[in-house]
Amino acid sequence: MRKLLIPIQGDFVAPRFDLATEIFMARFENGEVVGEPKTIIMERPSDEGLCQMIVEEHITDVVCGGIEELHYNFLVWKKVKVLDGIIGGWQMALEKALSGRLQQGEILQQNSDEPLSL
Amino acid sequence: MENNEKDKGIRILVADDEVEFASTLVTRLQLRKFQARMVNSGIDALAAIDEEVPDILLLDLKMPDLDGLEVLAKLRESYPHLKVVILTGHGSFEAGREGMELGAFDYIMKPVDLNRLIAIVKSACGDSKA
Repeated sequence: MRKLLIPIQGDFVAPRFDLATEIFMARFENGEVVGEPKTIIMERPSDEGLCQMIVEEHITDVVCGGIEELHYNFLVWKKVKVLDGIIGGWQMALEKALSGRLQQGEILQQNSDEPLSL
Repeated sequence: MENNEKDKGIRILVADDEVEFASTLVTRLQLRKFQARMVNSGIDALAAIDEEVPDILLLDLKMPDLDGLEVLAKLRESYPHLKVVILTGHGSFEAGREGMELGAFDYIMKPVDLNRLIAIVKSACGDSKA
């Protein structure tokens, strides 16, 4: 079973990993969420704290917006699959990540499954 | 993540000097249909409670002016039935236990697991309405 973490801000994937205070976490298997997802609210934004949480919670997949190279490399070194540069609603990002259709740097439209073409 | 109809009326006051944390928590609680508002100091918490007594107070321990334990001690005199849940920083569960000795309903460590917090809130309200 895998475990996904998404730093969020309201209804959206948090634009910056280092400034996120809301964290969505869910276990998943075969494209389906297993059990009750968790929403964690951090005392203050902290990229180091978030990395520590990812390791302690045995997260296997991270979906996020902008992330510092240092932290990206750390997480990859820890064998975490990181899909960064995601812009858009976190629920759509979650659905696409679970089905394996989310791509790095994808911009998700609010009311459509299709990525925006720039 | 379903909301029980009776939860919609629960009035929650969040007292925490970490503005971003408090506003994020209030927003998430409002999304779950609770009536949540925030203050960012101990003195403001006491003033807000005098103005309108909430069903639950989520009280941070480390605040400027009056800290959480001082607020709690004052509330025990004037609002002995008010349910208080202590919010403590990572690793400072001793302070949370101290708060419970002063009459707090429960304590929860930061970072806060929203589902767990809501379970505590519902439990506290269930107790007070029983």
